[in-house]
Amino acid sequence: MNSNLRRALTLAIGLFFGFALGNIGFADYGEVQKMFTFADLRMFLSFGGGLAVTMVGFALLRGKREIPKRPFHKGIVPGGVLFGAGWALTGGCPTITLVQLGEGQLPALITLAGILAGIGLYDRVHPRLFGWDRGSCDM
Amino acid sequence: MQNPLSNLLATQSIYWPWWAGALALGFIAIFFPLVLRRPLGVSGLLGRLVHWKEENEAADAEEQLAEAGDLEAALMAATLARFGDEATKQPAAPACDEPAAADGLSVRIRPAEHFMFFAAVVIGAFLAALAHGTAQLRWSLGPAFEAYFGSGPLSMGVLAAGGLMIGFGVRMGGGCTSGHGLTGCGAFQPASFLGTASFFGAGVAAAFLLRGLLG
Repeated sequence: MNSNLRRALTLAIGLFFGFALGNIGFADYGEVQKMFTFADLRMFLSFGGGLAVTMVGFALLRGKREIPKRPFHKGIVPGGVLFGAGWALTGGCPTITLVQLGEGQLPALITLAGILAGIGLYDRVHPRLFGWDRGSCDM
Repeated sequence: MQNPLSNLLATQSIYWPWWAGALALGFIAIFFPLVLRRPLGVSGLLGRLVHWKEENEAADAEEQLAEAGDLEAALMAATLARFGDEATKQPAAPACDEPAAADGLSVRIRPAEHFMFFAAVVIGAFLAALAHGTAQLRWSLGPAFEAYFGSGPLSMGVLAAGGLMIGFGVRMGGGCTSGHGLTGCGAFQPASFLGTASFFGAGVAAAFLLRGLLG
């Protein structure tokens, strides 16, 4: 595909992603807390349902092909725990800070700066302090 | 008091019913990799943006490889550009950037294009807020956040610390909600099920803790 088409599609998918997340309620701190405290299952089901759709779609696309298994590594659980705690505090995951910004919630800039700093910091210390193989696709 | 299920049927909410959100998220998780030939994983994309210099150098080196005939020199340039002096410290990780496209095409996306994606997300969210009538520049994350942390320096410290935890954690864990949660679990990757359970579990625990301490 030529790069201009790819860029146009990138923009289109990004627009829809932000639009959908904003409409689901992920930029609303109160809604996120309701999700995490099970006071309201709507958002959990939005995510879980989205996962189910993705599973079906991937399975159909994958057919009989085997895809390589991502390796387990020591950072999965502690990294996840740090991330989840940060999510509850700030109301966002990396994408959500962008959605918060789109809604005009300027404090998300602080969160975003923290996220970028955290990413830079981790990447600097990983080879020195940790050094485990995160697998070929550290997504 | 409403029970957790009542909002599933409510139509007064400004937000989409759960099934609309589910369809939208599924669509994005499926079509992003289908069309753009790389997996949807925002933490990885952000990582590339943070390391934009190295990414651009590697892309330049690869372009040279495509043009020049001197294979060895170009490979060395790419190796040094990508790994720097770390090439001597740890084994080179197999490059994930070349998408495993069936037709063998290998396209390195430059950081500027990742930035475009993120800008589009912001604009998309803005459009959603416009539709709700809530689009407004304001120094606030909303009443629920301020009920916990107010709006002064403490709240900013919380956001900075929380952001650091998120950034550090998604790199340590190897993925975020889109990377592990949708893409990884969507492909039934056990590592992603573990990762997703970890961050959702921590989010739940932290939210209950916050409500107990500050609610």
